[in-house]
Amino acid sequence: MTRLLVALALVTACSKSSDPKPAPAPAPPPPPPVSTSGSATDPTLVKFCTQCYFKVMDCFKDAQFWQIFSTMYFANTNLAVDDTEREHWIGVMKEDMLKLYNEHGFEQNCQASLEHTKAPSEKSVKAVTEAANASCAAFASAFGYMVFNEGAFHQPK
Amino acid sequence: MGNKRYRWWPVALLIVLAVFGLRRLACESGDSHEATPTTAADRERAGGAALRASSRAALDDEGPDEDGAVADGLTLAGRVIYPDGRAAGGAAVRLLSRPSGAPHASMTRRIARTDANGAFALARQAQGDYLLEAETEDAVSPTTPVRLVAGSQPVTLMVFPSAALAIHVRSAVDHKPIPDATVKLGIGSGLFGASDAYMLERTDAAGVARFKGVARIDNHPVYAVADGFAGTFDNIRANEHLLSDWDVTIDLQPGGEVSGRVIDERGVPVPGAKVGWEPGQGERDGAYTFVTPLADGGHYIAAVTDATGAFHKTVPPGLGCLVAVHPSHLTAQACGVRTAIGQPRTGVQIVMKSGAKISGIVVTADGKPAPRAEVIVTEPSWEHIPRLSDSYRSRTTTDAEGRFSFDGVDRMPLAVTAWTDDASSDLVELDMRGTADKQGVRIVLANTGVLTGTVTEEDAGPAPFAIVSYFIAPDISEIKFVKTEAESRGLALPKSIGATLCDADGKFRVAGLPPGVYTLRAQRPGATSVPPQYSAVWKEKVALGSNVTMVLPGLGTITGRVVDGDGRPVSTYVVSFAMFEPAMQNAAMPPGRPVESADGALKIDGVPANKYIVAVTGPGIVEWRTSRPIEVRGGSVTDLGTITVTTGTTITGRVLSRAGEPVRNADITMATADKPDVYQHASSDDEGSFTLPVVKKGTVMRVRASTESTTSDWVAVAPGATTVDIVLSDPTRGTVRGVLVDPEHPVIDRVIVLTLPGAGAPGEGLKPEATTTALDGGRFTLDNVPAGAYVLWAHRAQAKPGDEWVSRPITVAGAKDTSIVIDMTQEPTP
Repeated sequence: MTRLLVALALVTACSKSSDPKPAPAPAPPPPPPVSTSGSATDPTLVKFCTQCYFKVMDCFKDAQFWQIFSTMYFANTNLAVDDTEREHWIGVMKEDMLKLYNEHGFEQNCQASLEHTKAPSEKSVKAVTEAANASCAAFASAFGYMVFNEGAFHQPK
Repeated sequence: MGNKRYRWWPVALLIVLAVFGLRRLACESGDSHEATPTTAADRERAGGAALRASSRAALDDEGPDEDGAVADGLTLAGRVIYPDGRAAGGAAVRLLSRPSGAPHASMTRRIARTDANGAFALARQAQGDYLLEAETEDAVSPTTPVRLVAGSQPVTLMVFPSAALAIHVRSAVDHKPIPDATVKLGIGSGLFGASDAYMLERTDAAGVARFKGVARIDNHPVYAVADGFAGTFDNIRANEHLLSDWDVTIDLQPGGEVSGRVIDERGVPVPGAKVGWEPGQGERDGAYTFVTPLADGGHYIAAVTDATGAFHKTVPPGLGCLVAVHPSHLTAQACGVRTAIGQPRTGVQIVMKSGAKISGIVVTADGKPAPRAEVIVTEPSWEHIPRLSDSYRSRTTTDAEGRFSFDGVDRMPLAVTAWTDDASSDLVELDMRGTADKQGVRIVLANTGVLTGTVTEEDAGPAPFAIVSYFIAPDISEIKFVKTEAESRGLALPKSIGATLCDADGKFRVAGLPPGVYTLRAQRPGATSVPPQYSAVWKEKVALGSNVTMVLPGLGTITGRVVDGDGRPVSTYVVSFAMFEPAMQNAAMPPGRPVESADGALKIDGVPANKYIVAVTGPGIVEWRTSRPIEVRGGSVTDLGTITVTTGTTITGRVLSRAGEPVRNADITMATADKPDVYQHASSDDEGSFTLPVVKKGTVMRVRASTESTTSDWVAVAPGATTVDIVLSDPTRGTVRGVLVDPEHPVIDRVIVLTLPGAGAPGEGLKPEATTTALDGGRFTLDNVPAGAYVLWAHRAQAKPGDEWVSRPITVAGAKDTSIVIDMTQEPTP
């Protein structure tokens, strides 16, 4: 999810530049450095995190997924955006995900993310797993809540 | 395929009509009694409503003897009586609905008159379930369900005082009365199921159609149409008419004529298709599925194609789609049709595609074929609503061997279910995607739950013919993670909700119920002095197999005397009752009872025992409202004492566009300085004029007007002012995008409401400014919201009365999306 943080930071910056009127959004936490050094991470959570990445790819073309996921981001940043800004944000996210996918970097980034950011709660893991088996929309809601509301894979430890 | 696609229209219907007892009025082609149509209205009527009720004069006009008769049919016999046991001779007994597989009959064949002993007989009827209603000049029975089988006992219908209804039909352009308009009044209670019967009258020279024997406890759908005018469908609400004389006005807009043909893919005419009009750009292909997507099921508003597939309608001018519905074809539409007054549009062609087939057998729990079971095609996340029960596009009755078949079924995940009066099945899910013909479907009537009980008066005496309605109440702890609430609760099963009528001893029995616990509601069969629902009693968490006793609230009396500030009697006023709830103290009162009394005396009998808020209003009178709950006890008199009302200021005004044009149907919101969080509302008429609720002299207040497309700023009204003009501005509007998070409960279909900030809750002091329901993943969107501060409300999954909502303040930005997450996990359990 480190890449997610990069994407979030990029989008926030883009939002500011394209429409100077809204109040500046709270800056997301600085992206932790990507590291694969051998600090211990829970392999179960790495697997879970990786599965989330792949589920995002499954939902890559699902407009509902991105609508929900972006709504949860903007709700947590208190940003009012127009369609262009929303699409821009989604575009950056997609681009980043695609890049990571092509680099086979999901697992590596999950390990790095778990070293530096909050780990998901057991409850969230269960909720996201269940939602992933239901629909892209349900997954977006559970995953977005875990990331943006609870701060898992997002906020520094 | 979004579930919302086949869920939006009944929701819209319920909201728009605020229906409690909407009844369905079925249509079919080929009414042999109809004169050759000569006018637009005639043509539409002839096509759109062959199962028509005749006017009173036509009751004696029996149709062809074979019409609707069954060769080996049974006689549905019974008797109509008054509450004191007297026979109701000369009463009209109507079949409100018949088994779906029974031969159709014209309405004259569906009416019998009672003899001097109150006896009636409808010969050669098909075996199955019926709904009956009897009416005299001044009395009407509750809707009465009857199961007709060999050896059935005669049914008894008891009639209670009814209302007389005058419907004024006017031109919306100049308000001139329209003579000879056709007016159809729906009858029957939607609690029991769909009714396709109605009374039909024509307006007289003064533009008035008069009906007698109108049930005072039911809402009544009404449809009016006249030559050159588009038909208008409305709902007459019983709780807005608390006396026995009802008066309603319907304005008709001039319409444009449109005609054409409905054909299948091979070009063969499709007779008997219902054709409705939907304004706008239309829905995407495949959006219409297993339910009839016409607001009234097509009973009133649809034209029905003749043997050549031809139809003709008068519709509102503008751009829209003609939608055709037929049981054996997929629903089809022809869009981009532009209609104009005085410029008939002809030659519109609607092509209906073929669908898949389903066939099979219905058997009892022990495997025996179940003849004359009702079978429908539905969908697991659909929520069955009794009053819409004939909106299923595919519905039939099994034959003597329990067999059934459907044609024209949508190729999508569906389900079939069946029921008889004493058993029902679970859903049998069928994935029809890529399937042309699904054979050998077996439906087992395995659900045999029974509820019995007695409804009594307060003194323990039986309450004859009391109405008992029920619905399944889910065991929340047992709910698994599923896509929708409806699915989790099994609400698609028709037997999960319904109603029955007590017998003369106040006893009732419902059978064939799916497993679960149930909520029961008993209500008087006749009107009281307050809205019908106030006379009800509830019983929750009733297990199957229970034998319950439900005690109706006794009837008491309220007295008092209304005087002005000088002690002089007020002779004309209106008294309103609302069930006491804390939120109601600041909410708008429901419509009240007009009172005329030379000495200001107030005496209202027949008030069900309960706690009420009572209000007195009138011309020039500031609303007086009880400051505490008023308890009414059965058999007792509650004296409100001397009610001193204050003469106030009546403020009138107009809503204008920026160009100075009057704006009709605008909603005006008013708040006074002493209660800034309490809003009262008024509406502008055709001239843009409005009258605000009377306020105390010298009150400082502010007003705001809004329409669906725009709004105004708040306008301050100076003390002493009696007029105010409100000019609508062109404010920026924004969109609310949100996600409802509630992992413990299904989120789909949860209601989301946007209100102005203020005291109360949605519908209880706060008028919804925008409403939607959550979709998959909990997402929701409210478009076109005027920028400003609001409160967003989300309905709880497990709601207790008074604590149904979770709210969040939100400021909607103009020309932007404002995003919000409503996290129900952070809310304490109510």
